[in-house]
Amino acid sequence: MSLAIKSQGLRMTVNGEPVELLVQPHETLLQVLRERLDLTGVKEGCGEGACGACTVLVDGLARRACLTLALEADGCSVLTVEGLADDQGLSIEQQAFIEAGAVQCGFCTPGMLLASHHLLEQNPRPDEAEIRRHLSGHICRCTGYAKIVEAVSNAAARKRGEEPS
Amino acid sequence: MQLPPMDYLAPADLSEALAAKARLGDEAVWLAGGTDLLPRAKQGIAAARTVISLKHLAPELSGVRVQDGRITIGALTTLKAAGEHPELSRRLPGLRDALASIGAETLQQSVGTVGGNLCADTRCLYLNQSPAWRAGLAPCFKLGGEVCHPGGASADRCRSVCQSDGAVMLMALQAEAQVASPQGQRTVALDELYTGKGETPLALQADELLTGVSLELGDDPLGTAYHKLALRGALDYPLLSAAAALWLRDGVVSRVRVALGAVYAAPLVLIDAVAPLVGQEPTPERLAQAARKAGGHAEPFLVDNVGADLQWRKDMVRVVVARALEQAVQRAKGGA
Ligand SMILES: Cc1cc2nc3c(=O)[nH]c(=O)nc-3n(C[C@H](O)[C@H](O)[C@H](O)COP(=O)(O)OP(=O)(O)OC[C@H]3O[C@@H](n4cnc5c(N)ncnc54)[C@H](O)[C@@H]3O)c2cc1C
Ligand code: FES
Ligand code: FES
Repeated sequence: MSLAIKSQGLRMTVNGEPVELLVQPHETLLQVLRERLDLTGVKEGCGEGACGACTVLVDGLARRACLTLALEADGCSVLTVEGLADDQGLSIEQQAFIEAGAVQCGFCTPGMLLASHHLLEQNPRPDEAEIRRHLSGHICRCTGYAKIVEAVSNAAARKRGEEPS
Repeated sequence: MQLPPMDYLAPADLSEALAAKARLGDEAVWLAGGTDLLPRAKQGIAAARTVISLKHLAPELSGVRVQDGRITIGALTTLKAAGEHPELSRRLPGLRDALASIGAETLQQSVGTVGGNLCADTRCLYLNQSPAWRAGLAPCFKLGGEVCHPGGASADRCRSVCQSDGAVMLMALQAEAQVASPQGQRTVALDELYTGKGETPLALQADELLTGVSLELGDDPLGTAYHKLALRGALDYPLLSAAAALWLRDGVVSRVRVALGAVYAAPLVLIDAVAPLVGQEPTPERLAQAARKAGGHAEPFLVDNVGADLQWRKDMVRVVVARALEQAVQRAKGGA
């Protein structure tokens, strides 16, 4: 049954760079990013949508890379944690996570960072409830979440040009 | 976790999509946000030899329209776009709450669709598991076997349940689905779209696509409410839920519908339990009486299949129905 299935062309922009490759239809975006493009910041926790570790932004929208066929991202722009930092250094969110102690083992961190980035793009002044709601699909087994919420709140202030309170 | 090999098509528009599905029939499945389909495909319980992506149809099939007392939601409208639509959330706060309660913001709120929620498969603790987990058990009715693990020795059918929050609320609102095939369009009441059979929960033909869902708001003031019990506030399917839609005329109930989630293969509509409310003022005593009856009526449907204590779920039917009815009454009276 599966023998006749052909690879298909996939073009997308990943962290600002155009990429073009042939993929099998059943390859997930997670597999393509990690295994073909070496973007191992995209983590596989559960593989079934329930932990958030694999979260990336596709055309600015948060998606589980483990539940996204790579071909669904054809023609799209994908942002992974590797794309948050630039030549100047870490992004404001990344810096805030480090300063607040919001990273322990770090496995959930790429997903948390992209979710935070996604939130702050839409809402520059989220209150604590909004931060918690936005991150509610992300499981962290280490930090207890309080430091993560604090980091996002601090990053929001910095992005607005204010000092974190 | 790997997906099994599958083929993939991404038709450019509705007619191309319908033609492809008509050609492939049951070999092919529709792919909207994929947040229900792909976990099942990974678990080996979705027959997905070819997936037909609906992504290019989003412009045609997305959006909320309010016209002449009807609300219509395109099948590819995302959960967030529907729930946060200003007119929809003002008129149907119960539907807003039901859609917002689905999963989590960064999981399916921006990519999961209303149509995908309505067509999501029924679920069971013994079914939605990895092949390794299931390997120790005989195949159940849903997988072509002859047992229902939670149903016990006397079970003669699949007892998986509908855990789609949006579907339960839309059922209470007596919505109808628009369905397209190469032969044309038809309209089917959700009451008929859901068969109540766990093995084959949806009455859609192999060549049909759900294109939208619509409902009458009615002339009388309408109050809607959705109450869901889940293990966590996010990421979790309902263990039990109740949706209420209630219309008031001059302080008296003119119409009322209540549906339960996670109880039956379709959203379970409770008719007799709430019928005595019609023509009456919705006093706390009458609402409590209806909720008690609802508990009794739902009890035979419940089996231990969602990973929460069965007796607790039985006891809680009364509670979620009471909460949903009370809030619907408040909202019909103009409260928040
Ligand atoms: C961790 C996790 C938690 C979840 N929690 C919840 C929850 O709390 N409540 C809840 O209700 N759901 C929940 N879900 C399930 C799912 O995310 C939602 O039901 C979502 O709305 C499905 O929409 P989709 O567009 O992703 O559907 P898809 O996965 O694309 O499709 C679902 C099914 O419907 C079919 N289909 C899709 N669109 C159409 C159409 N237009 N016409 C005909 N058939 C169609 C597909 O073939 C498939 O069988 C959860 C999922 C995960 C992974
Ligand atoms: S790995 Fe994708 S959500 Fe857990
Ligand atoms: S830091 Fe370890 S899981 Fe979050």
